[in-house]
Amino acid sequence: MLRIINVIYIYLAIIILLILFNLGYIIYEKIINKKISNNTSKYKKIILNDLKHKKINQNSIDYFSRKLKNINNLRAYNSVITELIKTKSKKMDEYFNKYAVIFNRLSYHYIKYESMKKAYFAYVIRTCYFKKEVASGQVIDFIFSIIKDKSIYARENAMLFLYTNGCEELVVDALKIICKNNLYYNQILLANDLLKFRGNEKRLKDKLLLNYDNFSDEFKISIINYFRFSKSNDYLQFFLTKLENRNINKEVYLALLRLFGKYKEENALKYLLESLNLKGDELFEYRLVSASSLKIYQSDVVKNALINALKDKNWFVRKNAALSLANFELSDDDLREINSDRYAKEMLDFIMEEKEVVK
Amino acid sequence: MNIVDLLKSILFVFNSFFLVYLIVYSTFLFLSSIIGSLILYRNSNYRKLRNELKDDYYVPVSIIVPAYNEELTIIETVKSLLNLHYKLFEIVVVDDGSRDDTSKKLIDYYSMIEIKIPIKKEIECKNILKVYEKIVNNIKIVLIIKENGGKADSLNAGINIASYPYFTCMDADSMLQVDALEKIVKPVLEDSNVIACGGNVRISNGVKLKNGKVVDYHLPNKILDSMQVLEYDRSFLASRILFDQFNGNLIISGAFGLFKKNIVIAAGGYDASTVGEDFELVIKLHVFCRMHKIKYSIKYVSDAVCWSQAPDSFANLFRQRKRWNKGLLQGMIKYKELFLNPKYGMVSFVSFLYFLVYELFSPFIELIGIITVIISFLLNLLNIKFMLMFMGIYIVFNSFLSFSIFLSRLHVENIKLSVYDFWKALLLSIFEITILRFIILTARFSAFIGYNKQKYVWDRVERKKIEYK
Repeated sequence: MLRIINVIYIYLAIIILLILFNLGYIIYEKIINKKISNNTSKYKKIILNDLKHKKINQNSIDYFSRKLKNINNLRAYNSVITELIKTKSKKMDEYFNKYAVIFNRLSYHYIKYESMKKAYFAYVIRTCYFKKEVASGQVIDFIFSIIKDKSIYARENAMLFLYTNGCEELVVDALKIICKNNLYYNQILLANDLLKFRGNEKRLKDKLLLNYDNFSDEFKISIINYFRFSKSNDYLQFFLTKLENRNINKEVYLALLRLFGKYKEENALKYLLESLNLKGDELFEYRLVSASSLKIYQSDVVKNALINALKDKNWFVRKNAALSLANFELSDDDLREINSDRYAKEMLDFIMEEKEVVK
Repeated sequence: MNIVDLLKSILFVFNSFFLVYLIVYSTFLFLSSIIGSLILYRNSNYRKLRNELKDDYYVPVSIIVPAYNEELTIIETVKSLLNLHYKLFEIVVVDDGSRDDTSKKLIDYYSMIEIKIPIKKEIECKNILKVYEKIVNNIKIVLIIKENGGKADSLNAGINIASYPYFTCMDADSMLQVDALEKIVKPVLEDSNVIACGGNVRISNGVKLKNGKVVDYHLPNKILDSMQVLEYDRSFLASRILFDQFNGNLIISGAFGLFKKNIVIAAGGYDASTVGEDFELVIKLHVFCRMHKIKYSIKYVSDAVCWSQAPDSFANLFRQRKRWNKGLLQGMIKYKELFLNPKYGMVSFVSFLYFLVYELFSPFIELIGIITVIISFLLNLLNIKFMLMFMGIYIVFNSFLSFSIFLSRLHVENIKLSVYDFWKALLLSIFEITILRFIILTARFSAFIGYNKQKYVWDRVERKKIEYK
């Protein structure tokens, strides 16, 4: 019995230690926060002073190269530069160009740190907005060392650095590494992240399409979505050639159909109508997406195809067809045909009402 | 062997069992709180060091709010949802045949317009009578008025009408913290296999919230409410984080959870014949995904916070816990195949077993324990000194544990606690482990009494008007 009591005593002791740990941690955090706050003021003075002078201050370089190896000092530094970027963005650009060597030196150290700290360092150097001309080999080596990191946050922060850095070749190389290593990159996130690219957008797009076939289907979907979200429609011919082959991955094909629902390309109409006419329950998604995409292709052929789709067996296809038809001028004959089908009429009535609610 | 010896042997077995039961429970709590605290600190460091995925266009989410006689709270709830920091979501309020003015209040307040929407009933639900809609600040608010069918049925109706691929369920008397949606979808961005995420439900009694943010934190004035704060923290931050480590969470609170719609529809949606629809759905998802060999993950997100009113009277608390245990019983009977079944791995051998022994059957086990102690005492078989020492240490151990978890939680969330509340929490952690636990055990026990007659009765908790700024 006493042995059991001993176990309980041990637990009790550990729980007391846990409470002490909590209290200790609170005190430790307070001390750290105080230190960060003090360092923030100190670093701000140094940086403001460096901003005043055209000449590079070697002492500052040595000082920060030494101090910022500590993660909490890096936090203090980050809070200063974040604040200064808001108020003195041009001057800060110059500052980062002049003092980039600090980060080159730090890259050597942070490459050895744990993933969480690596991710933070990548976050900070991204804040510095190093243009591709400025970012040195050391920094790029550091970034590429964490592209394959097991931490999704480290990978994401590294990719965000590359988008900000604006070198299309590095971005595509990094994406190829992630893809080749089967590392996870959320589809929505990838498409949205590509929109953050600060370099030459055209060159990035060219490079992505040049390597398109080397990417996995998941990446292809994100790339297509990126082209759909971006504002230019210069690359439709490339994707049109991909639309010719319906045997490719279904989700990729659907992404292509959506792309041609955003940007009108008369030569894509054939494929959209073909997709709308595909029969079979398992192919309903093709009909569903094409019914939606056809809304921008105003013609009698499309209108009739959509009216026909209002009678589709699948409820969602009918809904999308009705949504698209709401953009067309419907004649009395069209309305008579629609009204002859209860489902079709119901759906179109709803869409018209919905438009009123939005107004 | 004479009768006294036999009785002694039986009592010895019972006493030993009871002792082992408490030791195992303490060990579980101990491990879960240590792991829970460590993970909380790790997550806090992640946030400080910007280890997070941020995107302006997260996954689109439909927020489904089932409402039955919620005229006191519904406007405030919708108002608070409209303040959420999230770009792409819609609000679907489901009036489950309320007898008060729930719908009228909403229609009048937002000048909602009736629409004749054709509804695809992908999951069975009671008849939908009317649907209203309004766009407010670019956010679509949909009101469904349907025949009364219970909370699960309302959620199914909401799923049928929801436009987006993910939905969250919440209670009409709860309030999501302003960044709750942003946080709860993060696991979805991090892992494509995530099909559901549970949020962290906190007690709003005593807390001042402004625009979905905590501006003043105090323990509630009422002792009962304060004890529930400690209890919630322990159950959410300890066991759920531990189960999360092996994809073994069996509960996503009905007050706040995110689900992938197509999986829920494929699994058959919420079961309207149970009063524990949240528990039932999560087990169903485990079973469904394993049966169909779908790679899946169910996550718990401790920083996705939903503030909920705790019952502030013993009667209400009793009703609430009785309903929870009834739901637990129904779910466990329905999915009895999970009992010690290697096909379900840790879900079966740890999570299911834990819920069976330490949640469902705990009232019986502890009652037997008490009876055994009394009989042993009467037969002079009890080492009273040992028993008192053991119980004393057990109570102090559990109290410290609750208190420690409470402190960890406040600290990682940067919530400052007054000196008064510090001592109050420390003192109440002792009462929580003794008095509140006893009340809850009694309530749980009562769930078994007349179970067959009352298994579909929803023991309602009275609502109070909430005013969130």
